Amino acid sequence: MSQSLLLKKTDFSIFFQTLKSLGKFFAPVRVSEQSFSFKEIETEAQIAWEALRTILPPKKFFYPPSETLVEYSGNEIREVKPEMNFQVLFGVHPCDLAGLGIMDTIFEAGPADTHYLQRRKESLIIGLSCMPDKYCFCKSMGTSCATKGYDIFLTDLGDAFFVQVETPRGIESLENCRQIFTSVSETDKDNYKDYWERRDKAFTNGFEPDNLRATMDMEWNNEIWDELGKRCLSCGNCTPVCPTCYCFDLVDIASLNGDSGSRVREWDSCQFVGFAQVAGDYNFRPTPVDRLKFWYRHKLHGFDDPYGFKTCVGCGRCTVSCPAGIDDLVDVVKKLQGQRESRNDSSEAGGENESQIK
Amino acid sequence: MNHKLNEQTTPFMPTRGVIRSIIPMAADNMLFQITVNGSGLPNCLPGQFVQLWVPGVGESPISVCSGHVGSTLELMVRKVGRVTSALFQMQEGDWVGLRGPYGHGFPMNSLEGKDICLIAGGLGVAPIRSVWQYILDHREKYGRVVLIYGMRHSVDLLFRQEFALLHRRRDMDVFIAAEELLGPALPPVSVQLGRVTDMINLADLEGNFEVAVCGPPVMYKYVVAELKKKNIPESKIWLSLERHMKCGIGKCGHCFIGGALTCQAGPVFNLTDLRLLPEVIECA
Amino acid sequence: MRKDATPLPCIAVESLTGCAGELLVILENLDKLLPFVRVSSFPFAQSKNDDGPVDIAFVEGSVSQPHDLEKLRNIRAKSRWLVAVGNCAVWGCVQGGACAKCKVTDMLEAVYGKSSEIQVLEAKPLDAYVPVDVKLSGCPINTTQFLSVTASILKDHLPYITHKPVCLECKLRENACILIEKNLPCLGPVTAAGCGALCPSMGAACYGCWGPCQSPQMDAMATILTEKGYDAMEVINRLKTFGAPDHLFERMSSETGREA
Repeated sequence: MSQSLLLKKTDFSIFFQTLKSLGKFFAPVRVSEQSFSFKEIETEAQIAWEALRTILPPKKFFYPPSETLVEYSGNEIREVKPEMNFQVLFGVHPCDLAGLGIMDTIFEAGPADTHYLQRRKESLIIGLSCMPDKYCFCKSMGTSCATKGYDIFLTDLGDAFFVQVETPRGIESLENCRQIFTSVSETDKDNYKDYWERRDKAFTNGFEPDNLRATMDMEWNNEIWDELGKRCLSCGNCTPVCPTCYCFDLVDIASLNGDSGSRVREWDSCQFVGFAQVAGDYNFRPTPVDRLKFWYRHKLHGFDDPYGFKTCVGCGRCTVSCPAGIDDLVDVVKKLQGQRESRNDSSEAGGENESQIK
Repeated sequence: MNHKLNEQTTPFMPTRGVIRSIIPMAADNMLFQITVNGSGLPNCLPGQFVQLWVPGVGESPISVCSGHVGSTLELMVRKVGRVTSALFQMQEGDWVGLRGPYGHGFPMNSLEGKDICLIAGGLGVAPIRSVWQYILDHREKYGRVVLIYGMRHSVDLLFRQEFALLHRRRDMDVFIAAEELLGPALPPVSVQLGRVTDMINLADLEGNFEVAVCGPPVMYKYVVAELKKKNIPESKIWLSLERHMKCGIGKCGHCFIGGALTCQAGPVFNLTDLRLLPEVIECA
Repeated sequence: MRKDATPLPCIAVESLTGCAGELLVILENLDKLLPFVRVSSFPFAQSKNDDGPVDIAFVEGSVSQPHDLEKLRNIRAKSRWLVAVGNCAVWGCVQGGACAKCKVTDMLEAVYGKSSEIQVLEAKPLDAYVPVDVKLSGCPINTTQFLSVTASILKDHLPYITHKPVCLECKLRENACILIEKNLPCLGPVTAAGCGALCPSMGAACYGCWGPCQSPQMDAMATILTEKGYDAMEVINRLKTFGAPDHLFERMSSETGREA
């Protein structure tokens, strides 16, 4: 059961200082007119409260873009344990919390990825409520309300935060500033409910999520994939920015002495041409169409085995990060759904469904 | 979460193995016998694979080709890429890394009591060899055994000496075919001119047959079509598929077929399961 | 460890027509190499050079003059591993790109006048003339990549060289996207990474100096840049500046050809 508390915004500085004393403190900061990034900060003023989505999602804190897993020297093979620094991650929105939940499932599945889990264990996660913009569609993906993955969650009630403490670690982290938290009143609870109701109504982007899996299955051969694939740059931007894209490459880095070296894990992307290539240069996904369609399916249909869940959390990062403008997931889903209907209609009307696809 | 995480070892940690012997088989193919210390790798089931690591170069997923494994693994390797080229430069006594075994192999337990047809194309004979060795170790548990092995050129025949022995056995039918007969005939192994599909056609598959297949991607659809002519239902066809498994433990994503991981759900799939996946082009 | 009795592998560092950028990178890192190799030839850095066989020859620069070609053939003949270093040697760089656009004789005349005695060839990468074992692009090459590639070759292993696009490195640095936020004609999506997304990190568009990434989607790149208002010819010129070969543009030219 979570504990509900109230924190006045005027007391936030004390909360900030307390959290900061626990370890490295990361929060979204502004890096350009449109973009934000989770960075280590020193002062409260650096926090970009308005940030909805950072360029890279918080997965980077647990699953770094490049990490050495194993080293060898002579006859010895040695594991390189991750460097542990306690970290506080502040301002994580519900979509990203859902994303971390999916990453957890993948990396916890046996045999578990110990490096990921160790970093996860050495972190305190503070969730933060948000009002959607025109790219957010977490509501359609069922990830708009965080239910787990955080230690503390803050809901913005104007001049105060409604604070939900979910874990023993969360309780522990508040110990040194317990005096700034008060118990919640009936009005606070009403304000809390009111906030989430208003937020629910604030979504302007999204699609009808029922039958999404079925739609992805039956539209596997839709012409839209060719249209999108033709524009696809195979730049792979959609994958590092995705909160749930976890694919990686393992590479050896040899040392000049010929006797030692390391094995390094690096983020990879299914959009790169070599991703599904096997020895002898046979490629199972040679074209951008093959690769884009595969990615879309993994996000919106999900695994065939063994997990079965979809891996899109509706954060909109791919949509805003695609230079070709082909990762507008909402638009694509709507077209796929719309075309299915118009195909039924067109059995009488005479095949006008082509015009549905731009 | 587990409190002893710090003491746990990453699943990417290889076990050291020593190359005991390297046996040339055909052009660019060598059989590596690798010994793993003490409690190294658990026994491999037919059809499973290991990640073979050449330090400083990389890992490569390789099918285990021996059916009875103690501390020594047999890996048939063809020189096709960076890792295998580097492996070919190694010598007896050198060490390599191994992880695994990984994946689901052929369902040897549920195949008990059945007639078995084994079909191998080219290097696909490696995992199929682990199946026949397993069957011959437990011969009484299985019915008739038909082994079909096809290759491009007859000089590429792998496991020649073993086939010479298999040919003499009365308890299995062996068909070997090459699309082209090159080089001197090498008795006592008789290689016929033809394709794998021609051999399926020749073979007597009347009975309660289950079929295990491994070969290059292009082979499957022809084999499946031929098996259908022989009235073998899809539920009795088991295919070992090739993808580039980089991690072997369901994390790296490289071996996805649609939404199924080859290293977890496969590499051996029942054909009916494959029918449910997109991206399986080879046996459509 | 290497036994004292075993002679060190020999390397040569040679230059054809290029800016010596690669030579500088190698020179800067020579102290790291020296415990493991003997430098039999490096005319840029030492005065005493021998012409004997070498294990590895690093060659920078494009083949732009007859004496470049002669030199290259000699190097090839004496080397076990021929490593093309830098964009000039791998793709032909700007001089190769220029030759793809206009006649080399016209350029010669424009620069040196009619009566010039300079002998020129169309600027081309090494593999236009001789087999190349390893191609390590860059402008200049990346130090870490150079050292790990050299480490592999010293073991007689084929090195791992990634040809993923600049976008990956750019995203990992969490730069605001130049194409999207600034509408600048950034070539990151089709250019090989290794530079660490240097230009986009400084707010400038990538102009493709490392040469194409693996399987670059040139036609999609051209579509997107023309949609941003850049002239189609200018876009193609930009894409070809650093020597990207014609075959990467086949689909594009056949499509624009149909429209014309």
